[in-house]
Amino acid sequence: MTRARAIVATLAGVSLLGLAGPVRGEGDPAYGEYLANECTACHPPDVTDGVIPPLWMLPTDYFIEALKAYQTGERENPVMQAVARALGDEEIASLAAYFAYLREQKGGS
Amino acid sequence: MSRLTRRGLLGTTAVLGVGLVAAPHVLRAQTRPKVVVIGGGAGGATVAKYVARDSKGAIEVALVEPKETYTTCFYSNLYLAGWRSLESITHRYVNLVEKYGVIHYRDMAVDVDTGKKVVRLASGRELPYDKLVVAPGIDFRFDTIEGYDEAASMDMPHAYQAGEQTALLRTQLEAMEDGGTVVIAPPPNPYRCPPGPYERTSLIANYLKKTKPKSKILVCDSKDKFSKQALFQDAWQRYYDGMIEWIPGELGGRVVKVDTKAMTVTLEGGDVIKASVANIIPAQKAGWIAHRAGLANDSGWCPIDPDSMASTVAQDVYVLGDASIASKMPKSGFAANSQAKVVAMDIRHQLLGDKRFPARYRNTCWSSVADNDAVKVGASYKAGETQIEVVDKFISQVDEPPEVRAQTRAEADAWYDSITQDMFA
Ligand SMILES: Cc1cc2nc3c(=O)[nH]c(=O)nc-3n(C[C@H](O)[C@H](O)[C@H](O)COP(=O)(O)OP(=O)(O)OC[C@H]3O[C@@H](n4cnc5c(N)ncnc54)[C@H](O)[C@@H]3O)c2cc1C
Ligand code: HEC
Repeated sequence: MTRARAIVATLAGVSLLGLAGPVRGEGDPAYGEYLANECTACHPPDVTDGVIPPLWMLPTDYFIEALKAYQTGERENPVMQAVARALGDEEIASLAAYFAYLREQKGGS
Repeated sequence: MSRLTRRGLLGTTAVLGVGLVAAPHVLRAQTRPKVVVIGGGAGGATVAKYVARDSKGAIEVALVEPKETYTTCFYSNLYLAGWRSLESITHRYVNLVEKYGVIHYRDMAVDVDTGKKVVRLASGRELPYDKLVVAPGIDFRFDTIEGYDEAASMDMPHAYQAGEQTALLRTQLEAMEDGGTVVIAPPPNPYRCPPGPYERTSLIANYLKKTKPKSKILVCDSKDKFSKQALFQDAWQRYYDGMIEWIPGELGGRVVKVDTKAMTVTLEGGDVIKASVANIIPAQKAGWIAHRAGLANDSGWCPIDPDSMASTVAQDVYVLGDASIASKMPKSGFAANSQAKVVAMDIRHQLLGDKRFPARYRNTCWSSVADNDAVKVGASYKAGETQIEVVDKFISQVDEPPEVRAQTRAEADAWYDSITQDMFA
């Protein structure tokens, strides 16, 4: 584990431990932050009245399940299906870890 | 917790406690590495913001952009339709400067010495760099249509660099009488925003149908097919039946000559059309400064390394956005924004030793075709051996139900707000 990861894992510990959802294994929040740069082309940083939600607000389990549902086609939006198909389990876990960290930074639960 | 900075999270060189003192770039704090970005458009603004923000001041970022504000070409067709104001698609650099410490030189880059690693500005100022990002967008090949040069574009606007040109086209459409003919001349490939001229056709038709329903649009094309063609033609038939005629290149549609006094447009097939409004979009090439810097090849565009967008011609130089040859990636604002993030990561890796991840690129282009109807096309990309390659793609279907189209229309608005925040907020 890199130093940055170790630090984040400690500081964002609660959320990272909460990752025992559909995706097992530990996410690298630094990788997650890089991957999340892709999401911000469409997802806003804050709540808006638009149809695309800010991602850090979504509970970790919900977030992971939603991405899985786009992968299987259960959720139908082709834009998000393409996004999700480009993510493996490691990527999803890393994104989840990063957004959990961000949620904590923003004072969420 | 408050000491866990963004740099700490992003980099392997964590800016924390002892790590701070040991980090080589901090020891060199007096002479921070310098990044110069030429062009504050979709690509340049993103890269300037990302490098400055994520390096937390460890890299000095200079943005060279003569304009005080940036009006996006994306969504400019919605302004032509009368749906959006010009202000709502115009953005300022103030956040880049005040929040992230980007230095904005309101100046033109006029020369680049890639050997000495210096950019010269019109004012005479010289900016040395460790890494240079060239993102000047497009210039026009004014030698391809007889009679069409920069002066002619004041009578027959291209409206393919947003701002004055777009406002001019809108003014002409407003002044036009009912029953007039609008000529739209899309450029040959490759060009900025492949669906752009056809979204424009749809949205000008949308405006005319509401205000001047006897008018006609003649799309005089140099090509035989175009992006999202089936989707556009389906929409034209459903919403604007009889109003739009598309003349492909194989039927002599290419515009070969214009006369701005007579307001006539001559087609390759021999027809001379009297236009009420003529939107002539000429063939394109990488922005002038990219040529001046020696970064372009014979195609008129700049070859790059697919894994980093680094120029394959000059050291320590990146080219991104429309000016680059991103192979399968279209020239779009979305693509430029996506490429900029890869460049920003590579720069921090090279200059600060921050962690590097594999390049990933994405594009999505929404096109509005009517009030509650938009279509989309998109793809995921990766770096191949020699070029950027498609991993996966999608496109809207012709027979989608209205709810899906309405959702797509709403998504486009949400995307516009997000991506412009991603660039400028
Ligand atoms: C009608 C239309 C509709 C479009 N719709 C969409 C859409 O829906 N979605 C989408 O993703 N894309 C769309 N696009 C495409 C998009 O606008 C471009 O692909 C995008 O702007 C490219 O970004 P860029 O950074 O390469 O260039 P630009 O955004 O053009 O930025 C270049 C900047 O560089 C500056 N510059 C140039 N030369 C110099 C110099 N020598 N010194 C200093 N500064 C310089 C210019 O002033 C300019 O601000 C559309 C384009 C058009 C024309
Ligand atoms: C090209 C635009 C685009 C990009 C890029 C994008 N998204 Fe989305 N995302 C959307 C849209 C549109 C929706 C709403 C889709 C729907 O209605 O099903 C959405 C919805 C979602 C949802 C479900 C939200 C909910 O409330 O149920 C998740 C989770 C999500 N995106 C994650 C991501 C992640 C993670 C990334 C980056 C890796 C990403 N998205 C990148 C456009 C995008």
